[in-house]
Amino acid sequence: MNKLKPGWGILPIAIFLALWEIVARLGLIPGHFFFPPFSAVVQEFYRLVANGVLGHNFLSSLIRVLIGFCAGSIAGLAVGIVMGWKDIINRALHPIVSLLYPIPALGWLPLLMLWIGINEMLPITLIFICSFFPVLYNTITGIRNVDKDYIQVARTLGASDIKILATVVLPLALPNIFTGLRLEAGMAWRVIIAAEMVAIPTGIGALLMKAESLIRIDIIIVCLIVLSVMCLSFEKFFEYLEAKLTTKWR
Amino acid sequence: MPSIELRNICKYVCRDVNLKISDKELLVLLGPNGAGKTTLLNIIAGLTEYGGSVLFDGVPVDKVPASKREVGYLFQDLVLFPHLDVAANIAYGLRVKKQPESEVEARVHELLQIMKIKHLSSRYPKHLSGGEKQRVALARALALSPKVLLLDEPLNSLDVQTSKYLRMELKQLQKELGITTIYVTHDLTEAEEIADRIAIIQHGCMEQVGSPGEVFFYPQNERVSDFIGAPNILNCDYCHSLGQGLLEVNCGGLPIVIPDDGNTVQRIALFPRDIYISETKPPGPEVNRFKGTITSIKSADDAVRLEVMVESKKLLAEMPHHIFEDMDLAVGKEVFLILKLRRIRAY
Amino acid sequence: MKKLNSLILAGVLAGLLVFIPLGGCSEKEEAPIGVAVEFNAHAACAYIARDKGWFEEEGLKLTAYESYVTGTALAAALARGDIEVAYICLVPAINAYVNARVPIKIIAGMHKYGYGLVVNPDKIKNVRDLEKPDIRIGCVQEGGAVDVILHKTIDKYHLDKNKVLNNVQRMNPPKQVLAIKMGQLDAAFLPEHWATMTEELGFKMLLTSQDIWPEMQGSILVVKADLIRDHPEIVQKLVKVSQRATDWANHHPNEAAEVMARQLQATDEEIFPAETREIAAKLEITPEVLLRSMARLEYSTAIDPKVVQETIDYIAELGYIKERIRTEDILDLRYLRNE
Repeated sequence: MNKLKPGWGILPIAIFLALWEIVARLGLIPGHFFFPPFSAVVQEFYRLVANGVLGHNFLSSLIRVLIGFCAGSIAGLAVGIVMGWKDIINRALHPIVSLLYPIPALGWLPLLMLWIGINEMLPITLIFICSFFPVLYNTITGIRNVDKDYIQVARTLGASDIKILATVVLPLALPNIFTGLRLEAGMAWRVIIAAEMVAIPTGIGALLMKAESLIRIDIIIVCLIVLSVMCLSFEKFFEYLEAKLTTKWR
Repeated sequence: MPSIELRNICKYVCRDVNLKISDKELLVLLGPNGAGKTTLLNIIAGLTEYGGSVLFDGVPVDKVPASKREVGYLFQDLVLFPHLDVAANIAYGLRVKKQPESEVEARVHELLQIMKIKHLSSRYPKHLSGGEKQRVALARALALSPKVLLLDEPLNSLDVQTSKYLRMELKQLQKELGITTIYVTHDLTEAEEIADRIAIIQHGCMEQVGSPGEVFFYPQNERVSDFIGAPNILNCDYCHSLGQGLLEVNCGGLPIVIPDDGNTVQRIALFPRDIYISETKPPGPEVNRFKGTITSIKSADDAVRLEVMVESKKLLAEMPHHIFEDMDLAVGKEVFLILKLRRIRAY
Repeated sequence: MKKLNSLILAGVLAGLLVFIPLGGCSEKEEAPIGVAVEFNAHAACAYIARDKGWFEEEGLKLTAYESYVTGTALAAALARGDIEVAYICLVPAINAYVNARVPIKIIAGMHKYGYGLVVNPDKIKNVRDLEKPDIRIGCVQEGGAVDVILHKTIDKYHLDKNKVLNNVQRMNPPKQVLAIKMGQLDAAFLPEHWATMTEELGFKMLLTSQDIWPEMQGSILVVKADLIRDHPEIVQKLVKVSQRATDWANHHPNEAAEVMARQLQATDEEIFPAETREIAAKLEITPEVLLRSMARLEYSTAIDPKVVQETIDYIAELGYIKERIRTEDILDLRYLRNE
């Protein structure tokens, strides 16, 4: 079976968009669901870009995601390293982590709304939580999965514990760590939308709420497309980074 | 290079193990799986806690951590760092010690030359063959010029040819560098080929320590004998050269022809699997062919063992089950024994 | 197996052929209608008519009577096709018509005014204080009538739009009242009765819609165009009932307030989330509050096409609707004029 040329991946999307345009224009969707054609969505997209509305809201969301995700990931990494490396700390904290980890990020929303109130810190904190736990978990797993023999070898070669952690264990744990980062990078975008839908004045989520309130389905679809692209982009970025750092030796 | 002494070592299966290894010696630690060989290596390297004492040159090193014992350790699975290329693997210990980069590069270059793997320096372990990995692992173990070298079954994943070749290289290298070395294996042939001395360990107990010849030809007890394959060992009364590289020895009335390496022979040994049994008189010259009577037949998992009385000597032969089933052998039957000339060992 | 499948398919098709005409017939005879209202004092005539059983008196069969906390939520329900009749604010109705192409017609008005800006008197002394950076202002989502009031306020008093909008937190009226109760808002743009309710919590009415937009049309009665086409008699009856209820409310303000208090309090628990039920229970919607609230509205079925066009133009400027429509497109006041 010959490999399909790269361009062929676009074909299903092109067909889908063409069908969408035809179905919407012919009004084939039953009764009450007003369904704008793809061309109307594209027009609205350009309008929103031109008048700065999309850019402004997108930037708000992006900044929140970046801050929350970076902070959460760094914290998750740091705590994960400590817990992964020191068994006694892992045993002490693991029960608490196991209780908190399964709580879906959005489950924290009502609590945070009361504790933090409705301001910039609310979505950022939510993204922080949504990033922290998976990165923590994957870091711990990655570190503990490193074959003990590598640590033994490094010891015989004169390395101290810290040196072993930095030069052997962490690099070998990278694939696991990247899995956590990759999953949460996309998740952060899904969560920010929900967080922004709760009375935050700016952001893609806020724009979605506004569009819903105005029954502007074209704007809603634009927002969803932006969301999808951002989720994918963030995931792809980490995929690329992981490949760059680990493909040579995996 | 220091001598090594183990005094009353206790850990896991090992109980009160005592062992001395001389300076610059290559001692092979030989035993079946689970005997405690790797445990002893880990104890010498300081990678595990233990009871008893380890001494280098008479000085206890029990309180010295693994990172400071200056032991080069070649692990059983080689354990090359997958995320570092060959050069970086070899350089790891040197960089840990914060040696200047120029010295590191020089040393790595030197080791790549010695191991004949210069062409591999920027390759990653996943792209190396078994033999290549072994060389890299050895280079890494030697990089810091350790006082003691520990090799844990380094050749067990290699094919027979490569293993044989590398074995001899290892021996040569060890002699050149003069590092006190402990080599672990469960393969007797390997042990015999490279050891200065062999220490046989079973179930955590040191059974016998001696030169390969001593261990093979003078097994201390039945356990050792069984382990080394329960060879037929015969004392030689006299021997005379037949010319053409052959020697005839008389072992209690049995004239046996063996290869002549120019040395006097006190004992010969032959593994049961190297004694063939024939129901009828075998064709060919009457060399190393004897008539005997089967005195016992024992079936084991891997083969059938037959005791055959030849003259007054009891010889143990071995054959696969399917061969035995095709023959009509029974206790009391007269059979012909063929001793494979080239497989007879002399001491 | 194939034969069985064919038989089943034939049976289904035959059944459809039988039942669809029958279904059509029964629709013509009974014509039940789904009604939706906003959960506030704007929908007084609907609540009163329901309380007094005037819908049934006119032979109107209500399959559903749903209340929505905001006009925008009601508009979404209209767009989904859940309901045929809605007592809804003008602005979200126009949004539904233009943006979601919901085929509705405005057949009568319900009231004028009925919105206000309430403030914490300690923090906000005049309307310009809304620009202060630490002020928190509550308002419904964009697309709601109250949001239009917010923008009108900014325009009329020449406030800094960015500064004010930065202070706005979007939430529905009951959430705003709760937030005020918990000290999380300093000002709120609210529809009646919610605006007057906050006076019980220490807030003050700074501006009413009369101050901000003197001719503002409040809520209207809309029906689906299909209902006008298929059942004009029902539409006529709806206008009649609404007019009757409106007249009654104007002549019996105290009784009307009591009816509203009863109607709004009954569904209270469904609006407030469980954890705030205790707080909500403390926010009594008393007849006194409703009397004061209803006095701030002018209940009338009259509707001025000029004002409707002004509204259309204004929200088009705000960008809520993509195109300006004409009032003739959305108004059908034949049934009102017949009265």
